[in-house]
Amino acid sequence: MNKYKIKFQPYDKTFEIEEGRDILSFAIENGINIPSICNGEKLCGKCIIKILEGNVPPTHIETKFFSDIEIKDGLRLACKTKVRDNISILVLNEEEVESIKILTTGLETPVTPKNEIKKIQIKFNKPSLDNLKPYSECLLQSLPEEYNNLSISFNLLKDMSSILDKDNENYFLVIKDGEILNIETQEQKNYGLAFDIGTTTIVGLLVDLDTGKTVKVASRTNPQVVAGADVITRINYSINENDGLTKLQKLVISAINEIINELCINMNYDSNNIYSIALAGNAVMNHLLLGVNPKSMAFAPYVPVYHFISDIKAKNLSLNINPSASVYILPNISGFVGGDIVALILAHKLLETEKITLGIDIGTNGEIVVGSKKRLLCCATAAGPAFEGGHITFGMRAANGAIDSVSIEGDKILYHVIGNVNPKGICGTGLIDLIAALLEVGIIDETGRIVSPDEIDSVALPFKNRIRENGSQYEFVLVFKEEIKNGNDIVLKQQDVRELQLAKGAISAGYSVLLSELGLEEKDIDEVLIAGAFGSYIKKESAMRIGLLPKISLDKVKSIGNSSSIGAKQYLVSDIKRKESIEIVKNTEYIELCLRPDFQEKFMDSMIF
Amino acid sequence: MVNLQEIADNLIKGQAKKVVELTTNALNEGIKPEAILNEGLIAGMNVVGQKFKACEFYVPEVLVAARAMKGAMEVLKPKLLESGVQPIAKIAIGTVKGDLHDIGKNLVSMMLQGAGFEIIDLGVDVTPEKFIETVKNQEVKLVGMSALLTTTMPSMKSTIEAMKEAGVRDKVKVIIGGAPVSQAYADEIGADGYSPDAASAVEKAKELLNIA
Repeated sequence: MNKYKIKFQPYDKTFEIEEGRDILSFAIENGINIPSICNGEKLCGKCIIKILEGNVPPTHIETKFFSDIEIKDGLRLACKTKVRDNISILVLNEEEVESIKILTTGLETPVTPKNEIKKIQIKFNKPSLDNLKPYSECLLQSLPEEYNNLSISFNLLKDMSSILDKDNENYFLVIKDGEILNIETQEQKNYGLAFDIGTTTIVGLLVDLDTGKTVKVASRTNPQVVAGADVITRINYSINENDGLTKLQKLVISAINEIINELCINMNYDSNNIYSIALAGNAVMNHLLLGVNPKSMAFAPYVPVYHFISDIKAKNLSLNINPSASVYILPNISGFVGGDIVALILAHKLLETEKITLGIDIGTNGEIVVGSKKRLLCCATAAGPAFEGGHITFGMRAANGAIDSVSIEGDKILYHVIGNVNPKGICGTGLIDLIAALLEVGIIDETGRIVSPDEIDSVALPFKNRIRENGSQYEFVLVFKEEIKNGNDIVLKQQDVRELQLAKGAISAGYSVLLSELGLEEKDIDEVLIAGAFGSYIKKESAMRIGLLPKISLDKVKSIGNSSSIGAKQYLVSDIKRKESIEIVKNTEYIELCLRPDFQEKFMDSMIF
Repeated sequence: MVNLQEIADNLIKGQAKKVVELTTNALNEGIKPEAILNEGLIAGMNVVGQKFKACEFYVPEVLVAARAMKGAMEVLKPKLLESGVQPIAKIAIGTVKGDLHDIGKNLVSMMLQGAGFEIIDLGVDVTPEKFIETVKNQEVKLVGMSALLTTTMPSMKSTIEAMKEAGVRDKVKVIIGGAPVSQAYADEIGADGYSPDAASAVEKAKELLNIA
């Protein structure tokens, strides 16, 4: 068998490695620490390495996981990389891997928590020769009179004798809905969990159930990304792969459990003392989480299997908390308007206000809600991956090396790079800024065409040398390679502008249809709420300039961050909020854009700048 | 005297009113309907198609041009029928079963119309039976199928298989398109052609039907 040399940087250690061996297991064997969660099951996408020297063609999964630029940049997954050349690699530290911006917090809105867990202190008399009763009897006898109808959960029964055999007389019984769930030897804080299950990112909040305050936050990339970036490819995976649905369910649950462990270790809290968890995600995400076949959402009429689902216990999902804990899943309105949007409506009380509110979650699937307590409408629109840097020549995610903002000031074009490193590409927010700036100086015309250098006005003259001919079209050079230490030109091509037009046209046509259904116009909107990571980092002026957001006064536009996790938290701490969500599902009308003859017309109009 | 080039130019700019007005004037002046169609409208749409392919025009411009074409055709069509002019061929087009997305399909449909084809638009969520029935009862030379979702793409395969079973597959050429579709997929399922965009669809249709 052939042997090759492999050098690990920054450790400067060189080994001999057999041909075809994967790097991750080899590194672990030789004491080199590469972060991995799934232990080489090729699932977690954490073991990112960078090839410095040597030929390592990317695998199919890697081309799905990384952008083209990242692949060109030499990024690979250690578990997928088989050695067939002398190579030198850079092991990235966790901070570098985690440099991808994850938005964990959102704008808080008031909520009155109502803890449904009761903890009562008892004095326990152990069974003895004078008291020949089983443990369960002794326990029930130790209770004050008003609790004479309680039952003991089966899970508690299993362990009860060993808990009660401790040299302790005082115990705290944890009671919920007439059932004793657990016995705590010392009274613990009342914590619960709220989760946002995003297609790309999972965020978990440890929540104080008495105050409704977030105690600690942790997040992970949704490990399902190895099966595809968007919900349709995930559904496809569940249909076409052997046990695909079970695999996807296991992946998301393993990530949730990791987050739970991280939160509890950080707070020095026993996760067995957690008795409730609420999870908000789009309909496909919550179907996959519960192991419910999501197939119906990928075929017309695209309906989910359920609106509501209740009576789930933690043990049904193998969640690492108390097995009897209640699992609350935020309900779905339709196949493409799911629990995350219910969370938004819930947290921001859209069904309680006279104000006309437009709520948008901008992503591959744009979810939109418009209206007031009089009538609230929602829809979903396929924006595609442009806002996440997908299908854009130099597009990338908002990670180190991404240009995330651009502006033109006088004769200068200014930009900011995440991580203050050499720019490698441009992410969604940077793309919107760039196109807005070029529209402003007339380098892009209202139809979206990049004009020739001969057509420009004097304001654009300083940038004339950046307009470059490419076949019958023109492209704009944002960064010349001579302007940076090393790297390549970063260029906006004509088809990139077209991709953005499609994406922003889809979102804007979505809310235009809803507005016209309500008999309203853009100017009637009292408030715009933008949810999600993208919405938080976007420059509002640029978003308005390109027509992604309605052209209304800037102070009416508010970024609300991760409203999904905030809504999940309110759902967790308040049964009133849970009842409200039933009303939300009942009273929010879903409009299927595919069935609207005016959608196409509005989509066309919305593509123009 | 109306200059047919002027009709083409206004069509390219998407000036619907002007195109209809010029078409009406041309008819009144006794210009042959066939000439108005070929040298005015189709000539204009050809340019639109080329510009679209070169990324110089985008979907909105194509649609406004198509809208202008549609307006003019309403005036022109009765006259064409009177003078016995036949469309170059009939094409049935639809979004396949399970899929409701039709913007791409509509665009292809307009470009084909702009090239002089007669289109039977079957709409969205079209069952294999509907495609077969249309092939049987209408003199269709080409069937176009569209899908946006990777999950509904297999409906193209099942439609082709159903056409074989019904014995009508050989009567027509089949062309497919849509975001997840590729030439490789067309080969795999036994479609005659694939088109990556609306402008190429016209060329592909002409190539498959041997129309110069």
